Amino acid sequence: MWKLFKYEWRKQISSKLIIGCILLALCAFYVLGTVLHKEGWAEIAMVFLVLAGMFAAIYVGVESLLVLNRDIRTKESYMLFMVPKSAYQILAAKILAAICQIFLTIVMFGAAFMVCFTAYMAANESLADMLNYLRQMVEEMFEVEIEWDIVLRGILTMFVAWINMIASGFLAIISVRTVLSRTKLAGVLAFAVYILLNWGTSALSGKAVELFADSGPVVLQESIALGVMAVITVICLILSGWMAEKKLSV
Amino acid sequence: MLLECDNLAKFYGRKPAVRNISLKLETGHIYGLLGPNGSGKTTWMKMVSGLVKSWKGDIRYQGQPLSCHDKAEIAYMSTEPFFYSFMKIKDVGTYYADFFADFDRDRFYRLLDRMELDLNDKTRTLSSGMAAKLKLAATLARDAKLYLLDEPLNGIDLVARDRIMETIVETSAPKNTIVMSTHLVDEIEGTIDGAIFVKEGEIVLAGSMEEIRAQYDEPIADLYRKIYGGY
Repeated sequence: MWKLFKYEWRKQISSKLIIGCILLALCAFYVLGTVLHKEGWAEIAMVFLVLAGMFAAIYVGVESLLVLNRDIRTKESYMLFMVPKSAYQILAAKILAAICQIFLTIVMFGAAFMVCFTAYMAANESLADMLNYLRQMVEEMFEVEIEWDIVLRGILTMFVAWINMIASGFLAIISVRTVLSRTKLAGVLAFAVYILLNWGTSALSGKAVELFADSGPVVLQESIALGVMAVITVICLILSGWMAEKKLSV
Repeated sequence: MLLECDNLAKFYGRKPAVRNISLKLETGHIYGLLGPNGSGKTTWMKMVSGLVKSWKGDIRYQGQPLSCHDKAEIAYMSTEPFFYSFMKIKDVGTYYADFFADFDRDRFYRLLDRMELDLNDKTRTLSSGMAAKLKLAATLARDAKLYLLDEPLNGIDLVARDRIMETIVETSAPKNTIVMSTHLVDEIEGTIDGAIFVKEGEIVLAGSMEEIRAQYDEPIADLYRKIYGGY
């Protein structure tokens, strides 16, 4: 499975290099702005860093789905499916690669923010100032107030939702390619199934939360929604693996 | 018996690609799977190599139902190039070595040398002929028990064809079986010792070359014309 992972990783590494280059440029712009006390430059760089982070998180997920679609649709599928590995192992390698890709992206952005943070600390005063600066900036951008424990819960929710996005995408692509492999509209249909699956996941999570709406704290409700999403994610992956193993022709 | 297929059928929608195929392949032979385009040769090969699923009938490899683990001993080569576009030729060798325990890297390099391919060339820049040679080098560098070569001579010039047929004959051994699908019957007549004629997804004639020659008393190429051309 690690060998499968190695090649899945390699299929998507180019986009990480591009993201890395963009981050380097933005960091350089920020550091330059901080050192030269050009606050406008630093603020622009920080806004673009945040926007690039959001875009990158979505793109890394979408890219995993595009790679799977290509791996099934084109002749490159033989390369993947001729190896003596089960479809479950192949999909597990793909999911693992997708998770590692998002972690790499997070690490790259973390490093970029650390560079910016260090530059700010070197040019200005204290950690408290930096955190206040970050808080103010995010509050101004999104017009919300920040509480760090909520932020952490939000990160966990985003991570599970992100994995769910990949898993439901896998199921949508594999189910459509299994049933309608020779249809030109397979891509459009896969997207429609994907939207449907995500709608279903949201509806089920919502229903589960409603059940406990009057009897528990918000944290419990959020945990239930998260749990439902996690269960749906596992079901999507198992179904995808089963369909690929038993039904999918390439 | 290396491979047994019993009443195999595969439909794409309502259209049959393969129907009622029953055959047995023994070890130590080179079989020609003959038929025009669309006759079901590729589908059958992909079924045996585990790339086409959801079929009816039974495939048994060495007496057991076919499983994904059998791909470790079955070497399939498709008609079209299938290597990842980010790979160089040497990466193809690494990929095969990573996944197939029977892959012989030295033999791969020797075959590349014979086919005049450069290790550092990118797969996406290869001409169709070069890509065909690379597919064959990678596949035949495996010490597989069953080789399924789908149109190995497609896109190959006349001189290279001789070299490829030599390599296929060299690869043939008492411990393995080679199945070549082709419609270039003249090219393989002297090489194969068994022939399977497929028409519209069904086997219309199969047997050893001795049996077929004894029964029909004419070259395979003429028989091919008779079966598919109706003359």
